[in-house]
Amino acid sequence: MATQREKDAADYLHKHKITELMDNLTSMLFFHRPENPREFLVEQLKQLKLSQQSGVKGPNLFNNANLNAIFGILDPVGRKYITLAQYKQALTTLGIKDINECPEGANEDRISQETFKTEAIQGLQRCSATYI
Amino acid sequence: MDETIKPLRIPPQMSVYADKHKVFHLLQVFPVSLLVIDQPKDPISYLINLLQRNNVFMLSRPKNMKHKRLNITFFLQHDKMVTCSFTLCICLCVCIKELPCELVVRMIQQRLDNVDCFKRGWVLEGIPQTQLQALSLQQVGIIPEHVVMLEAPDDVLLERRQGKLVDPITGGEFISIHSLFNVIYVVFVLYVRVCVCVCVCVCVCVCVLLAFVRTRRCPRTPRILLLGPPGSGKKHQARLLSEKYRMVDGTLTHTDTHNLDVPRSIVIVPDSLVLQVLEERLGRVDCSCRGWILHGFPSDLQQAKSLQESQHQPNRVFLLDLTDDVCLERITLRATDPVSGETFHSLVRPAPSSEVQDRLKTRPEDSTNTATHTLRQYRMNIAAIQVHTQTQSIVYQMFSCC
Repeated sequence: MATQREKDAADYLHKHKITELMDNLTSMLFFHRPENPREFLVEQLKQLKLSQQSGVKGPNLFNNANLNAIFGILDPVGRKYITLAQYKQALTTLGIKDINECPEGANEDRISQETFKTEAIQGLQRCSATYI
Repeated sequence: MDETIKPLRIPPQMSVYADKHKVFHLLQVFPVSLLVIDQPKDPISYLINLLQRNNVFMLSRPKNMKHKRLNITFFLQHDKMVTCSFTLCICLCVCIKELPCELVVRMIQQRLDNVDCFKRGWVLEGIPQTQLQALSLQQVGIIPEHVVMLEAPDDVLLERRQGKLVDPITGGEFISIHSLFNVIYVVFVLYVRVCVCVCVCVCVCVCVLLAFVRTRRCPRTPRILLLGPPGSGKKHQARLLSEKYRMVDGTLTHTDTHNLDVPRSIVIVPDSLVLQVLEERLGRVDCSCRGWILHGFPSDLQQAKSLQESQHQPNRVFLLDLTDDVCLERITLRATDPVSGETFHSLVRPAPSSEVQDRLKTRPEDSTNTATHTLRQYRMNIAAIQVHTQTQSIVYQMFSCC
């Protein structure tokens, strides 16, 4: 039986997406393992703030090269497109939550590399935009 | 993307890094608790400010409320010891039982609002003394991170009191506080972790306290080394510990590599092979998540150095210490029953019947000569290993007398 204060705290955490923010910061920290973790975190938070204010792309673990590599794994033959199932699986593996079920090319079951990348980038942006 | 065949592997560098920079405290405990309490409208700027503030908050701020039944002057002596390593700054000793509650709370609040308290942490001892005080302090927002209750049997207390010449601060009866303690204990145990310390000896008490305060906050994946002369019970202890704390138990002696099919004879396995096997085993997910305990390794300085250079540095080292004759006694009188597989010891755990006794066989490495040789080698190596590991991790020495 949660008290009112506990409920308020839980609501606050949910509204400001604090859990996701902390998760992202922790993964960044563990991936880069900087010598001075505080400064690194302050940097990341400032970048995030900038992206909140001006709509510039926020900090993220994955960049374009990573996305190209992933597409390459999914499409070893080099057909330049992947199936819808592959696309969904890939985005889930990247950690993106709300996947666009009908991207361009879904009807023919041929998702091109550009569509994949655009959707992935947008999804990753949504994940890292842990602010209202 | 199909499930890759290669199993998930959490790089062990991450645990080492986490320990070194106290990541858990930095990221989870410290900002989130403050965020939830303050609930600012713009959490990102708030966090930026918080992290940019002075570095002192990195260490877990020790805030103790000690329910004392000992003499306060006695405790002040402890405090000096604690102060050197901890930068605690406050020890409020006020006889507050007779003062009205609100006055006490206000005084405490005033003192704690000072910047030095905020930065370095505080220790309140002897406060609160009544349930009402405890509750009012909580209402105001003074909540300790750790609560330590020092206990001692009544006769010891009386003895100690009589020994002191002057006690101007707490005249008072200790005995009558007895019944109130249980109540206060209950109030606090709901909110913070309470360490109850039976105070038999001063130094033991302080060590326990320090260990408690330092380690309570952060979960720790244990990476333990158990070192000790042959016959000190390392394997036994490792087994018990791993069962209790659900760690992974690593049996690694010079003649035992379970992954390779090396028969259990006196074959000296080269160090590089041992290290390879070890790294592979410790790199698996269950070791990264649950922690591990190794015994019998490293056995010389070279191995110790290689272990430190690998990514699996231990964070606790336990040195079990025994005198040589006890070691030899333990080893040479050991014998195994080949039928049932149980080990017996002539002195401590003799075989149940004479026919079992006739069957008993001793391992060749348990003979007196081999054992003495191994023991001598151990003694030569252990000093160097000790010096080496002391710089990297916390070393505890345990001396056993029987």
